[in-house]
Amino acid sequence: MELRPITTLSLVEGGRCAPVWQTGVVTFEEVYARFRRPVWRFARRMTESEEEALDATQEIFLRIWRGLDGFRGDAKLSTWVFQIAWNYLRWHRRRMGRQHHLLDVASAHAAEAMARASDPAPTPERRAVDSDLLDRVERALGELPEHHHVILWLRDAEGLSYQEIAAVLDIPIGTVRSRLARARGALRRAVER
Amino acid sequence: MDDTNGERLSRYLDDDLAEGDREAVAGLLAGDPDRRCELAAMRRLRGAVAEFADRMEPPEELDALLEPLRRGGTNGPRRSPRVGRWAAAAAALLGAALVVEVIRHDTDPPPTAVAARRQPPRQNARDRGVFQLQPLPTSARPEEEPPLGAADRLVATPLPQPRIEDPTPLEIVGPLSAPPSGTHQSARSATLSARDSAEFVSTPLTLKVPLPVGRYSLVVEVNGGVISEVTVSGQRASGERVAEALERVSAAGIADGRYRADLTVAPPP
Repeated sequence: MELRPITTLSLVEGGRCAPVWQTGVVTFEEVYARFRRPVWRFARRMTESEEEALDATQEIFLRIWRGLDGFRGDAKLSTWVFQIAWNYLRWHRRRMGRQHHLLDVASAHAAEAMARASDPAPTPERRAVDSDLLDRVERALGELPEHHHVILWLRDAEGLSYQEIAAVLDIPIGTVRSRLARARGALRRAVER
Repeated sequence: MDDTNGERLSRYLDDDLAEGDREAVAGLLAGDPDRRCELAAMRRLRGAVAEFADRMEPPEELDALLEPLRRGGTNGPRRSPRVGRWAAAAAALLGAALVVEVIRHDTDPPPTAVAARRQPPRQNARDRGVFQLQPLPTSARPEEEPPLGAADRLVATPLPQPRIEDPTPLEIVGPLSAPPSGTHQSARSATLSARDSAEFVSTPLTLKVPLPVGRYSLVVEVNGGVISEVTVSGQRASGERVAEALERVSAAGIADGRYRADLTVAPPP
């Protein structure tokens, strides 16, 4: 169910409050439960190490916590969360001097993350993705320029719509379309190298 | 493949094309094995990225780090232990650097100090007040705030507050009872204001509110002696808890009118 902010509460006769009111309430716990993994893996992709990603994730959720009162539902919750995450990560990366290319995280760390991963029931699509391809994709993602990496991640890993990506990255939707196409081309070339 | 075709294929893959364009691309694909190949590769890579993301699990430490926020604390999450370690290491290093500096100045003063020393008799460096030892910083690096971005601007936009003209203070209730238990806390203070009514609630109210610290407002419309409408500003009020509060408001007997309750929720001292 899509979470929306409270706007009105209808009451039944006699002054008793209706036990069910219109929509869900966005509490921090709900936001955390829903975005714990997406925010962490986004942070992990945009940082060099697991420790750095943990710190970044912590900072992002602190900003979400501080801002939750102001979230009015004008944007989708996912857009809002990823906006906060990307604003922080972009700033963090610039501060760390990693503006142009992401570091390749095809390392023992990634293997560690893979080993920790849960083992969901394999779908036909999953089975089709062999581990060699995953390794190459991981390496290739790390070689992409930041603007290609981030747009691919938001679309293909997190499943954000073009509109949402445009809002998160603060770029026109036409740019999302062309940049994503170029990023996919760049990923393919990098994987095939 | 050129950029235009690449973009159309990419959009076709994501189902972002209008119906007519989609059919046109489908027609092109039917007669062009190279493009079909291109599309298949694109689809496969998209699946691989998704699969890669799907396998990334956050470390268990993350939940522990964010536990204070999840419990609704006011101090934010604690820093990870390694930050503390780095801060301690930096402080120790700085302390060591200061000691070295004191020794160096004592044994090998700069030319200006040599000149100054010709006049007064030599004193201990600390006695002269040359070296003022300052408290060591508690953090390895100063906190910087990132610039405001789109999301921050959204957050910074004030909530639209219901307009209540010339509110008459009714009653200040609180401090209220300690939190009973479980997941909610009691409001420490609540101010009820009224408009268009000469009769006010006189019964102390206990307004139970949900977990996190926060501020929100209720505007209650009373018609025919019953609450007919409630508007809530703020995100932290859960339906059940506010409903519980309003039942009490209702039980207290409110005259017809429009009321507003501003709630500030804080953890118990």
